[in-house]
This record gives sequence, structure tokens and C-alpha cells, in this order.
Amino acid sequence: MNTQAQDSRRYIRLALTAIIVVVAILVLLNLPITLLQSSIRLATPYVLGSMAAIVASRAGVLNLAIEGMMLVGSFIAVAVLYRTGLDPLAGALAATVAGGILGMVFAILYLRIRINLIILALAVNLFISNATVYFMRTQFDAFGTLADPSIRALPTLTLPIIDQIPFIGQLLSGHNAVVYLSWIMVVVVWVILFRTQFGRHLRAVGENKAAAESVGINITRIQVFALTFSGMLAGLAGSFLSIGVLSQFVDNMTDGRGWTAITVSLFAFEQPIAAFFTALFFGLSEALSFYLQARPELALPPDLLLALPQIATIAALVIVALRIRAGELLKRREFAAQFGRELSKLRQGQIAGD
Amino acid sequence: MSNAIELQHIRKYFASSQVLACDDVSLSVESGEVHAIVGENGAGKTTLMSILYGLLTPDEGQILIKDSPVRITHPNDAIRNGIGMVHQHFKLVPSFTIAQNIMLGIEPNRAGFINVNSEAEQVRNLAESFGLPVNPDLPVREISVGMQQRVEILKILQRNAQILILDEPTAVLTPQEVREFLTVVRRLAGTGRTILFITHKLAEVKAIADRVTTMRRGRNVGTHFAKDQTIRDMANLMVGRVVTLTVEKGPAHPGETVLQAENLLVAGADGIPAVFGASLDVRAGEILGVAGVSGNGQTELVEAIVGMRPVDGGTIRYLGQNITHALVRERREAGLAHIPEDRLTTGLNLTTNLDENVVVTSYQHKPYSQQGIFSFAPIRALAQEIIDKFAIKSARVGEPIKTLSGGNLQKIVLGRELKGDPKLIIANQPTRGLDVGSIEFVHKTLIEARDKGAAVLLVSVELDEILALSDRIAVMFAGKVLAVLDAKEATEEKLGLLMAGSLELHEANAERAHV
Repeated sequence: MNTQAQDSRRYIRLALTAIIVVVAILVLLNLPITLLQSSIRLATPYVLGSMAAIVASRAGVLNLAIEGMMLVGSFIAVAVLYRTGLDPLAGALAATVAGGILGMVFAILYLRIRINLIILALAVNLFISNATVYFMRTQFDAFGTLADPSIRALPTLTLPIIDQIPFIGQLLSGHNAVVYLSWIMVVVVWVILFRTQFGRHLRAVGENKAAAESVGINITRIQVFALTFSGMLAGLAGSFLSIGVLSQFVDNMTDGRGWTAITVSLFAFEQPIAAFFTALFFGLSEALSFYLQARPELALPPDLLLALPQIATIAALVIVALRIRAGELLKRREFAAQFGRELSKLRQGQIAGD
Repeated sequence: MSNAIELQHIRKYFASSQVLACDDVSLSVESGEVHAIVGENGAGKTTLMSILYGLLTPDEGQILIKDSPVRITHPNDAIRNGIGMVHQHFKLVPSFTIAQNIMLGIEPNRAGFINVNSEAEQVRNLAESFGLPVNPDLPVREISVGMQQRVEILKILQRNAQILILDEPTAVLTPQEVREFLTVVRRLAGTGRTILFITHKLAEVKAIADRVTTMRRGRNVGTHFAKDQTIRDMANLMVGRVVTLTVEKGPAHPGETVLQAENLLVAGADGIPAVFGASLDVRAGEILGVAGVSGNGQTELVEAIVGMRPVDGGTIRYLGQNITHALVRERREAGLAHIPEDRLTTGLNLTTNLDENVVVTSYQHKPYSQQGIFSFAPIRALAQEIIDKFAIKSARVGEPIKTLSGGNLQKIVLGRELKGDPKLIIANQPTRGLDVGSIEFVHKTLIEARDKGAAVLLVSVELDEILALSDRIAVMFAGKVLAVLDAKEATEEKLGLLMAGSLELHEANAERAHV
């Protein structure tokens, strides 16, 4: 039926995508390279956070506690480094483990004790936000900021061969280990979801629990694994904020990035690769906010600049809603294309005054 | 011959609903036999099969497979013992392909990585060896219901099931699909597999089963050879008393046209027209049955007629008046009654009591309220009146209704809707999920209303019901009324073809023959 129309529509869509990509590349090439580099760096929490959201919601649990899990990661990374003076990588590892534990606790509270998901997520987020403040005061005598010269940030790495390539080398080389790890995690999440038995089971659980259960898949086990993994990714994302960019922990450091990460996964329709590029866009919006703030000569209102990432978030959510609606419109238009004459005849029977 | 399965003294009590679902049930099934299990709703058929498949654990009793006792506490145990089950509601993952659904849980893999090629290959071989061809790469959400059922059957065959449990397998199929399905069942039994199937369609039992077990109120009331039993015998055994299978009704005396729908255009939930140029009319004193495979626009048609869904084109006339865009209340005040498809969510409010449920359509009038304040005495009187008139056994005035059975709930809906002798009754699937006794009651009530001069529009996916009650029969397909037949000239065969939309095909062939 109607394949010609479908084909031509596909070509139009491909052409549009190509035009957008070309324009985007041209625009990006004209941006200062430092801005692009910091975009890539600042995208990291969104990359990892959106992977956390994707893993959980593909398994059928909307993980609304990512914000709290990220915050735990930020705090634990700094706390562990402050107490032990170990290598920063140990901090990132500790953050991952802490996020994982929180994810597992979350899973048990939700799946075993059957606490309402929304209430549980609210409780976890509020609890973590206040618990970090409490421990900062009681354990570290710090108010608002936990910083110490002994806390080192993650060192930047130079990629051996890529470093030599002009432009690309500047763009891709010289980030810290968590940034590269986040890229690897995108591939890992994709492979797990779409190439492994575990991932297939996970997606089956997320889409139709009854179907998975009837063939003997242990739903609870899959969801506990997924939430634990989700928590680990979120914890790692949090460590990037505290020891990747700076080397300190600040009250409520995540500042809504966990929620934005959920937006990223929604915008990408829970596809890991698409989420990666969406996250880069959010990284750009954040980098742009910093970049423009540092240029008072442009005389842009500072409040607006600060809100740039949030504006991007709202725009993304609007686009998601529009896309879902566009899908409906498209189906309706296909129907009209097929039965147009009959449809208009029926429409004309419409009574006056409607 | 050896027994494939033997169930001994199975007992299952549900404490939460205080129902003894299985009461000392024993049953033995031979290898290679097609064994039907029939019974009214709530007779314990599905509970018994769920116990066999490990979804429920019995309180007492044991299960023997090939004469040795086994413990089945989880579907995995059942699968290991060669038992597979096709559930009434299919358990498929819509975005997965046919192959991915069939192989779910048993994917060929190396170190956890799925071997996609071997997966498709295995499915193709399996489908070929049983003569049930499928395209392994099609996503399940794009295939027909009949094909989905085939996928479910292949899914359990891939797990080497020797015993297949089928829960109401024909409920969702067209008559032609049913016939194909029955041959598949026969072929599977021919390979030595044992088929246990739950149904309430006794004609199918006669057509396919070797033996039939009848259950009533959690007990096995007899296992017989199907060929020795008539449909009437089985029905009587199911209900425990003599039932009249044919609905007794006199000839219709159709009067003026009450409802006239012309070229209706109604959008479904996704915005695509679900009713697409449907026209029909119902006259006073007749029952117009609307047959069709579910999902061909019947629900939307009904919702448009009762005013719950906006009409995009066409007109609806009620006693000559245009009501296309009238409000639900305006239509009801004019004498339209609606027995909705889903009594649990649309028909009744289960979270409140009987009184509120019966007065909800007339609370704004005297004597039930005055100046916006309820008068409780007349409301209670109304509730009592409905209880008495319709013999709603366990209902009490002022009491909650959520513990009542489906039959009693439907009686409440009927009592409310038929009060005050409406001129037009729209009944959508009025007997869905009811037991034989309640079905009989609903049918009688509708015919009584007809004889009192009401116009009745009956929508049902049960062909038997349509054939038994209707004076004229309209068949819906793809949002259109394909044909309206006189009930006398309608046969199951003819309706089945129309329901599959093949009238167009016939006409096209006829035209070609003329040229």
C-alpha cells in the first residue's frame, strides 16, 4: 500500500536530516574550539545520566531518583579522597559503587517492599540532598562547600595518535578518564541492550512483564540488576561533577542535572546512541552559558544566560511532545491519502453549525 | 494407553476472595488426546490449568506426569516437564519480531551474546516442521490476531512441549480462523501431543475433542467421550439444571424508525477514522444485531451513538430529530439507554455503593433530589426495587458492590438502564464474561424490552448471541456496515465471510465475470 508515498517521504526526511547535519557542522566549525571542547566535557554527566535513565526505563522502571544517585556519587567521591588521599580514580570508583548500592536499595524498597515509585523517588532525592549536607557538617565541619588541597581532580589524558590530528585531536584528546569512560559506556549499554540475552530479557520485561514471566524470566532479578547498574552509571556521572570539573563538593551540586538526564533519554526515545548526541547538545548549551557569561562585552542579560540549559531542557520536552503528536498526524495523513475522496465526501455530510 | 497427566485431589482456596476455586478435583488425560474442559465462569477451569502450569500452587493434591509425581511451583517446572500454555490474553512483546518472541528466554547464545542467524534459522525450521509458516522477521505488533496465536503455539512447541494447555483459544478468532485453528489442533494431537483446552463454546468441543471434562463450582462433575454427549447434555451438566439453549422469542413487530445513523465518520483513539461511513437504522420493536470481529469500529460506533465520542461526519437521528452533537444527558433524557461494553469501568462505579450506582442516571430529578439535595428514602426505594425486580441475590441497599459477581453486576446495569422503559437500548457485549445462567437472563430481558416496543441495538462479537437474538443483522468490517441481513437468511458461514470483509472480494469477482 502506498509505498511510493512512503518512499518519497523517507527521502524527504533523509534530505532534511542531511541538511540539518551539514548546517550543524558548519555552525559548530565556526564556534571557538575551546567552547566545543568544554561542551564535550560538560556533556559527560548527561551522557552517563541518560544511560542510567535508559537502562532503568528499558527494564520497566522509570528511575526518577537519578538526581539523588548522582548527588551521592559527587559527595562520596570527594569524601573518600579527602579521607584517604588516594588517587582520584579511586574516588570515581567509590562513587560508582555508592551509586550502585543506592540503586540496589532503591530496587529492593520498590520491588520487595513495594513502596510507590514516585513517593520513593521523592524520598530518596530529598534524603540524599539533606544527608550530604548533614554529613558535610558533622563529619567534615564544612558548610556549603567541601574542599581541600589534598583532594585532587581527575587528571586529563592525552590520546596517543588522535592527539596529532589537527582540530579533531584538540577536540577529542585531553579529557579525563570519566569522559572517555562515558563514551565507552554508551557502546556498552547499546551492546548489552541489543546484542545480549540479558538485554533482550531486560527489554522484554520493560515492554510486557507478563510475556517475560510466562517464559520463566525472573523479572525481579532483571529489574534489581537494571536499577543497580543504573545507580552505578548515575554515581559515576556524579563523580564527574565533583572531581572531574572541580575538586570539591558543593551543596546540591547536581543542580537538576539528573532530571535533565531523564529528559535526554526521553528526547532520544531511549536509544543509547541518540541519547549520546542529545547529551552533547545539552553539554553545548551549558558550555555556551559559561562562555557567554565570561563575555560581558556582549551585554547579554546574565539571568538568561544562567537559564540557558534549562531553556534547552524545556525546548527538548516540547519537541518530544510534538514528535509524539506528529506521529499521530502522520498516521492520519496516511489514512487520508489512501481514502481521501471517501473521507471528504463523509466530511461534507457534516451538519452546519459544527 | 498411558496417562500423560493425572491430577489427583487438587484443592485451592483463595483466602482473599473466600472462594474455593478447586474442590478435590481429579482428572486424567491420555497421551495424544484432545481433552476439552468446559464450565461456567468461575467454575475453576482456569485455576486448575494455572495450577498445572505452575502459576498457582495447590493447597492439597498432587500432579503426575507419565505416572510419576512431580512438583510444579513455577512455569519453569512446567516447561521442564513438557507442559506449555497459550494464555487467553497473548503474552507477546509487541516490538520484538516473531523469532525474538518465540525464542524469548531460550535464545541461542555464546557467552550471553545472541546468535541472531541461528535464531531465525531455528524458528524457520520449527515452523516448517509443524506446517505453521511464519515470517520470523516481522514485528509482532504488525501481525494479525490469528498469526499471534500461531506464534504463541510455536513458542511452546519450541520448548518441546508435549502437553499443550490452550485457554479459550478461539475467543478472539473469526469463524474461518477457528476452522484453521481446529485443524492445527488435530494435527498436533496426531504427532502424539496432548491438548488440553478450556472453552465455553460447546460446538467446538463436539467438533474437536476426544473427551470432555465438565467443571461446576470448583468440582469435576464428569468426564465423558465427546461423541457420546450432545451439546445440550454438556450445557445441562455445566449449569447443574436444564437450560434452554435457544432463546424463545416471537416474531418481531417493527414499528417506526427510532435510530437512524447515516454515513458516520468517527475517529478512534489514535485519530484515525474507526467508523468510516457506517449507516444503519433500528426500528421500534426489533433487535438489530451488529456482528463483527472486535476492533472493526463497533466500540466507536456505539460511543458515537450514545454521545461519548464526537462525530466528525454524517448524522445520527433519533425519532426524526438530529442528535448528532447532542449531549449524553440530552440523549438519555430523550429515552436512550446504554449497556456499555465494560461494566466494571464504564457501566458501574465499583468504589461506591449500590444506591449511587442505580441513581446515577436520574439523580437530578425528583424524587431523588430536590433543589440539589439528595432525598435518600426514594433512592433506597429505587435500589430495593431493582434488587427485587431482577433478583440480584447478594446485593443489599446501601452496601458496596465490588464483591458482587459479574452476572449480578450486569443485572444492576440492566436494572438501571431499563427503568422507565427506554425507547432505544444500546447494548454492547452485554453478556461478555457472564455464566450461562446470567446470559440467559440478559437475553430474556432484552427480548422482553423489545416486545414492549423498544428498539434494541445489540453489538456482540459472539456470533451465537447475534444469531439467537437478532431480527436483523448488520456486519461491520473496517468501520463500515458491509451488509444488513434478515436474521432468517443469515448463516454462520455467510456472516463469517462478511466479518472477514470478503463481500467486496465476491463482488469484485462477480464484476470481473460480467466483463
